[in-house]
Order: sequence, then structure tokens, then C-alpha cells
Amino acid sequence: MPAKNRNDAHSNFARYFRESLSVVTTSTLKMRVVGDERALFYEPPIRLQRSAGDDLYLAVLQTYRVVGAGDGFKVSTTSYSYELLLKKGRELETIAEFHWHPNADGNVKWPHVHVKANSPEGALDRKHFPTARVALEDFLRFLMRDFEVTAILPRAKWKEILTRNKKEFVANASWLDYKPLIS
Amino acid sequence: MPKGKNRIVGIKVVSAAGFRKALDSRARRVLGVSGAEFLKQYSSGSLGPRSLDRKPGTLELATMCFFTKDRSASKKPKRRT
Repeated sequence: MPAKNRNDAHSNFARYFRESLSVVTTSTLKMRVVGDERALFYEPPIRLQRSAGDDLYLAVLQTYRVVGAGDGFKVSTTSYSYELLLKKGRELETIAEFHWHPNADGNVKWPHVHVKANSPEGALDRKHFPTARVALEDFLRFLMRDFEVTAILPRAKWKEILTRNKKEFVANASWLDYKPLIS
Repeated sequence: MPKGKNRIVGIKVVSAAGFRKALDSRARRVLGVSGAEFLKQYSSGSLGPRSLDRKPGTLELATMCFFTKDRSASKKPKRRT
């Protein structure tokens, strides 16, 4: 539902975003405000709890602005980067990073994922595998399901948070269209 | 900007200097250069679209450059009374 004013739209989005992250971390999320543009981020990456294996880290960068929507206001995402990293010795190495930056200077405008992996074709990390728009909530579920990242909230609670916030995200999305991802 | 009653629990608003630290962290991790060096290259226009696409994470660095602007620098000075 659109917010009554710009400040409420901004605060609601930041609160939902932080709440979704609270499923896996208590780390303070940082925010930068420049004019109408805002960035929410974890950088340097934060450590995640995991049931087994080497330490995993999470880096997040979400940029957005508030726009008019009917009689009210809502948030419009301008870019995202959700990155999973592994600590090897003292170095952090990227495993996968989900990106979307339609307004940036580069040529890649579609949502995509980079995967740090080798193949018969060679290294894959410079390939831009197309994806749908990825919600933070889906990325967090991916980490818990496939990388044994441990939720720090009870199961019923985190499921409720991620389901509710993904629903809110989709309800306010203005990016669902039929256009080809790669033109 | 969330201050006072608008403050959001679990979120800290950072200054331009605070954000430049984040840019520095990412630039060193992604490209092995300082944030200041990346900002200098990006601002001078020496990084074209092909350069930015070449290494994953570089375009995100470019996105971050906008947020290093110091808003207070553009504010009018307070009138002395």
C-alpha cells in the first residue's frame, strides 16, 4: 500500500529491508542519504552463522528513491547487489553475486548472477547469467537452503517475516513486464 | 534522513566520509585499489562501459561513487545573527 508521504515510504522500506536481514544477522545495517537517493548496505561484508564449513560473509548494496504512486508514495529500487563470500585464510573470496543496475554506465542492464566457478568454457565469473529480479528475501532463503546459513530467529518467525516482506515487495513492484531481458 | 523519532532500529545513517570507507573496502576487495583511486579514475571518465563490465562488482563501485558526495558542501552557510 502506498505511503502517505515520502518519509513514511522511505522508512517503511528501510524497516522491511532490515527486518528481512534480521533473520540471519543482528549487525547494524548502514544507510547513506544523498538528496532523494538512498543506499542501504553491508560493506565491509558481515559474517553469517553457519551449521558447518568455512565462514561465510554477506555484502549487500541496495539503492532506491521514493516516487509518487497514485495518491501516495512508494520506493523504487535503482540497483541491488547481494553477494555471498567465503573466507579462505585472511582473504574473502566471492562465491556468487546477484546484481541489477539498470541505470549504471555499463552495458548490462538486466538482472544477473555472477558465479565463481570453472567450466569447460573456462572461468564463469565474468559471465552475466540472466535472472529474474531477485528479492532480498529469496536470496536469504537461498543462503539458508543451499549454504547451511543458520537463521537466528525461530523457524516460524523467520518464515513469517520473509513471506510477508516478499509479498510486500511484489505488491509494490513496478518492474514486471514482458520485454526481453537482453536486447 | 531518519533522526530523532524517525530513527529506524538496527540502521545507522553514515556521513559521506563513512560511505567512502565502504567504497574503499569494496574497491580493495574487487579491484585491489583504494576507494580514492577508484573514485579518481571514475570521476575523470577514464573508465568506460567496457572497463566497468569487465570485472564483476565494478559497476556497483561506480554506483557507490554517487553516494560519496558530501551534501553538506552544497548547503548554504547559516546566517550570522
